[in-house]
Amino acid sequence: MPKSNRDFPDDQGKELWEKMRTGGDQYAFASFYHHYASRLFHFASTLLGAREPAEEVVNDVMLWTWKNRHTLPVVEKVSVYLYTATRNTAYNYLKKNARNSIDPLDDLQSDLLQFSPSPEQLHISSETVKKIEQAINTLPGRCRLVFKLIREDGLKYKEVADILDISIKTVEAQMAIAIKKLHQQLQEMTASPNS
Amino acid sequence: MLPENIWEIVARKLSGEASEAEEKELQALMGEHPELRETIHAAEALHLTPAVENTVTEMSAHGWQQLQQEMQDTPAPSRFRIRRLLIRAAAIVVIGLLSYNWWQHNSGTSIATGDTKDSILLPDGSRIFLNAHTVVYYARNYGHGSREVSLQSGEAYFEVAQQENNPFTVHAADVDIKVLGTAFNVHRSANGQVDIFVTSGRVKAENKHGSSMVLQAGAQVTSSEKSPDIRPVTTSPENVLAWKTNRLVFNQMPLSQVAVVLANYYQLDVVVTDSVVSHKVLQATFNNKSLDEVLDIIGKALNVNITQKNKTLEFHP
Repeated sequence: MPKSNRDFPDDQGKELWEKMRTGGDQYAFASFYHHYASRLFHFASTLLGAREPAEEVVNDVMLWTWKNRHTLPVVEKVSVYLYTATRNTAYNYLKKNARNSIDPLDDLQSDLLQFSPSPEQLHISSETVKKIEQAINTLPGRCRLVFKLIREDGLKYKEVADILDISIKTVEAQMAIAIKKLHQQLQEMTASPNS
Repeated sequence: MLPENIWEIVARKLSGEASEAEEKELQALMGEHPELRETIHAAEALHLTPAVENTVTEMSAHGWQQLQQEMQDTPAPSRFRIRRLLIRAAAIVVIGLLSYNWWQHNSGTSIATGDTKDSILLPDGSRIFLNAHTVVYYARNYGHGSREVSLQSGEAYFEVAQQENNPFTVHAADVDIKVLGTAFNVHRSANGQVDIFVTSGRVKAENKHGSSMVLQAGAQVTSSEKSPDIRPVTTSPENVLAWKTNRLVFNQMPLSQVAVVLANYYQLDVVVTDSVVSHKVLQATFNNKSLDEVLDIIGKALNVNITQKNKTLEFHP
């Protein structure tokens, strides 16, 4: 099976970012928005747990990008810049609206990210689906988010560490925990325990 | 025995962070432990989705509408204020169904559908049919010197009024489709894949890698961001326009493919886990039937059980 998600090409994103910086018009911005919006919505919904605040936060980030398009910095990776901006905006949103200013990452509800079978998995048995679901259900929210950012959004350890403001070691540990749990659940199904 | 740091190694492998030595070590371990390979495959295909009440497509379309409103609000000189208020009032009236947004400068029109489908008539007489959750954009100077429409997400069917010396172009992700007087369907997936189906006339599709193809009526092609080529599609075209005709045709089609058609048409996830069930063959035509009716008939015809949980359908033996 190809590692489809890992090599997420962001060349297009970089090109769109450059277009925006050098006098982008609405066409450029429309493409830019639709290139990143769904990933940022996933991220913001996970941090904030509901649709409306997530929409508000992502649109704030996007609107800021549009207004400041002529002075945008040159960035190494556009997605990292946008995820960080989204995280900070989400944090500010909570500070403004919640009674206490907690870091959303310290308070991630674990059931926010759920397993959804991908098209490649349409043919796996429902028992396997159940096992994967059980494995995911044991994982804390932050662990699920780390896994998603790395596998589905194609970010590196260092980038996830920067965005979530945690150490690279923690990122790696969360990934390892997720895979270990998955392995344990799948093993339980196939073999009688012998270790 | 698996080494103690096995999960860190697998994590690095799955994150694109593993060294060559670690890749080699893992290859060897996977040979000795087939169950390890299985876990890695499961992890590679794992998708986690936020459990919020709306789909991300909907959020993108809705967010885009709001954003345009705010964009036109920001740098406005005061004499436009009343007009802006009027526009805002109008926007509230049509909210949720279909909304037209005007850019203030160099303005164009963006049309987004939510849960419902719609169609628009362009100034030159061309018509665009929009599937649900679709966004298209065209510039204000549409029709003056050029006719350009951008498919920003979703699926649309274009009936293009013939005008010599005034080409009609659809931009969709990496692909430009230049029309030589015709009707055709374009589906842009969230992952950048673009599927084109021509029903009459001819079009020319060209992607940014320079690959191009002239398509005659009946032609079906696909283009993805991952591959430089535009490739022909061999599956039967009878359900490509189902979203527009409300007619589903299953001609000796295995249930595994029926599932894909139903998923597209009813905007659901469909899961077929049992291989016997997925090979059952359906012969049926449905005209404008509700999901319940269709499932009832399929269930009885093929003797399968169908359960629905949220937006996921599952077929069982």
